Amino acid sequence: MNIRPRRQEYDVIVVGSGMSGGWAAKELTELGARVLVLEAGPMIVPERDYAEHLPTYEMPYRGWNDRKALAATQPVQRECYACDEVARKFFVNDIENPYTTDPDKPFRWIRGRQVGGRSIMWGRQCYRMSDLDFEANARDGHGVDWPIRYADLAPWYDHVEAFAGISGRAEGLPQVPDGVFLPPMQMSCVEEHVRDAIDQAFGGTRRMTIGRTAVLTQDHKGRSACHYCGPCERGCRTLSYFSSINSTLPAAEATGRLTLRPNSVVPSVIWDPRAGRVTGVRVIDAESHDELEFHGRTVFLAASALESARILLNSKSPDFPDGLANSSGVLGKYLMDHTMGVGARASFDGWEDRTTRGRRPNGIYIARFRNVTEPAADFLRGYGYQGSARRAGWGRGNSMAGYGADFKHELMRPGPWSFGITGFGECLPREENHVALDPEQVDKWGIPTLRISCEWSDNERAMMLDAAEQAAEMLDAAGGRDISIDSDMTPPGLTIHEMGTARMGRDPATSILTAHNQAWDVPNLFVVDGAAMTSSGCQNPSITYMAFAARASHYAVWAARRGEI
Amino acid sequence: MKRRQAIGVLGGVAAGPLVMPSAAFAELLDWSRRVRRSRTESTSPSHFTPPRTRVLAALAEVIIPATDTPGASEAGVTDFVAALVDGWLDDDHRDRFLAGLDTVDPAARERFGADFADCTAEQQSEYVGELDAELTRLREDPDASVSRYFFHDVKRFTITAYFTSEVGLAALGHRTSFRTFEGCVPLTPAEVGP
Repeated sequence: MNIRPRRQEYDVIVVGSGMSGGWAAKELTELGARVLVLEAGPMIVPERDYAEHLPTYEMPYRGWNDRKALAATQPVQRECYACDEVARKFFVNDIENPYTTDPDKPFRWIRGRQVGGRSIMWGRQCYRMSDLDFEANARDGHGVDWPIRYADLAPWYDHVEAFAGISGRAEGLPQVPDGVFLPPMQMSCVEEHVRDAIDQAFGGTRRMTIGRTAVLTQDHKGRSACHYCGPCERGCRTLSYFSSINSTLPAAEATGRLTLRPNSVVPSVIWDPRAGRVTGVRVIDAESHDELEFHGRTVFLAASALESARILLNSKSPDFPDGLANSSGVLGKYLMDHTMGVGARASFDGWEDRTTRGRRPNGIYIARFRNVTEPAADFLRGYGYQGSARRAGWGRGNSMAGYGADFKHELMRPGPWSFGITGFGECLPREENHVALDPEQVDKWGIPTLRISCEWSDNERAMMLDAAEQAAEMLDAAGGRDISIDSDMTPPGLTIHEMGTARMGRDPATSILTAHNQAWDVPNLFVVDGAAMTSSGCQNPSITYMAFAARASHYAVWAARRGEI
Repeated sequence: MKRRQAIGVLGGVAAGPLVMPSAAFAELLDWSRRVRRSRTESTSPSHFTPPRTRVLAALAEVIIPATDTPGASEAGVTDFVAALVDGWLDDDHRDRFLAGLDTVDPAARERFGADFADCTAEQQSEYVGELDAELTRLREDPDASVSRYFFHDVKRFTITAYFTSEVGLAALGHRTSFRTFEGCVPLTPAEVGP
């Protein structure tokens, strides 16, 4: 008789505890699965780690950040606006987590390694993709066709929005379909003015609406309405914005079927060539560097688009010499991000006796009009704008003449109104934008790092040139003064919407994943983060990742019950 | 064991009361103070010496004086500037800033026969007026580098320090909690000002 110790086997191992991993954990456990969530970074405890009310005078540099520490340990992360004096602890140490790029192709990889991942400091904007997006590749021949259409995903958008709590206004716009909305936040006086002016000047083809955001405008499922303190990226003790820590992980924990292991860096997935399945994952304990294995009947990768691709690329075997589930050879390729940094700002006279009250964690959104309601002459696809109006604060004193009592009192009054918008543009899926394992460099845990090669193409550049011009035209039409144009595109990566490195498709020869985020080559392996994206749209993608993660979770449980995986 | 505790906390948060426990807040402040202490303890003696502290405090009070609300000297401006000098500015920037600061007392002694901090309010105002006029002149000169002028730093350090201080935030009526966000409301009396 052959007696071996029984090894613990989970129904599903989920790698990553952020936006996508949290949703997988919630859905899978609620459907009865015993789930192990592995997170590379440490535990985050809201009472201990959230710091949104830390007063500026308690910060050593009063909000100016510890610039020398940033330069030494976070030279990449510091470029993200949210990596501030308090929230920088939620961003990785770049020295411990290196990657390389070609010198002339900068890519900013902004990462959070902790329970909750980047869902702690995300931008919270939520816009559904539509058939304009799901049919885009088939229409113009870039990339491969999505294996789904909006109708496949719509109920899952409903599902995740109803739980997450998204505030917004229904507009009936086909290119950004309405969702399950909590009451919208208010626009400011100047934003309302600009909205109406744009509506008039462009014959109704350009619609400005209040941002659709995963911030609660009323109490929702045990979480409190927003109290408008401002710096969401530092955490939220009233749990008013959606994150996996605030929402999905507690729901998963409530089932009694969740096991969460922080400090668990996953270098690779374990492939069993005889069974033709994966049997679990390898783990390096982040603190002790011990090498462990965890076993499960199904593996979900939700480590982020680039980390999930990295894990697969590093899971080599005779069956998969170029990376697990990569018989097609497209793993790591077709990397996309959204273009950013281009827009315009103007001053607005008037409304001097009016101001806003509270710090709205949200802005306005101008829905895509290019190649929707207005054609574009020289580029495919399109862009949307995000922005806001505000009155200048005391910081304007840094460039004003004056001193003394009058100067002080002037700075205590709200300053002039200004309004600015920035375009977020779609990026075409291109094979040459890719990641590969670096043959030489390893990270702190000895795992091969990524070599990232990504740059904008002529289509993105033409699109952003138009975005700058149209932004200025709209501000001019609204009566803006001193219009300034920002025409410098930020490098790819910095929009933090990187995606596409293990795309879905209809054909196993040209894609990694099926329509249900299941690897064509490995039936019990799913990738449920941004890696799965076949095209990028121009919408902030998190709500789409959530919908896919929830949908794939239900599919996996269904398929397991039928003995298919 | 650790993991179990951690999950317990995680689950408890969603179900538990949604107010910030004061003990946890104290811990936060403690963290912040530890960071600052480690900075001051780990470095050599401060470049921001007592005489420089005295000059800066006096300049700051002229820029943002006490009125119906406290002024810069009550706002701990010098603590912030000390932190910048010892831990934030690059060495050449720090040296340039301190060299500029070190010209103030000799100039005041020559003109008014006293250290700047000991001059009368009128004398101090006259002197700061000249520094501010020079700053304005440099701003309008396309060939000049305003950021290299020490009074540019004195002014922006003072403004930030004041309006991020406890008294400065109180003067602004700063709040961290609002019933809702209102997009278009009349100014408060504090915002209208005197």
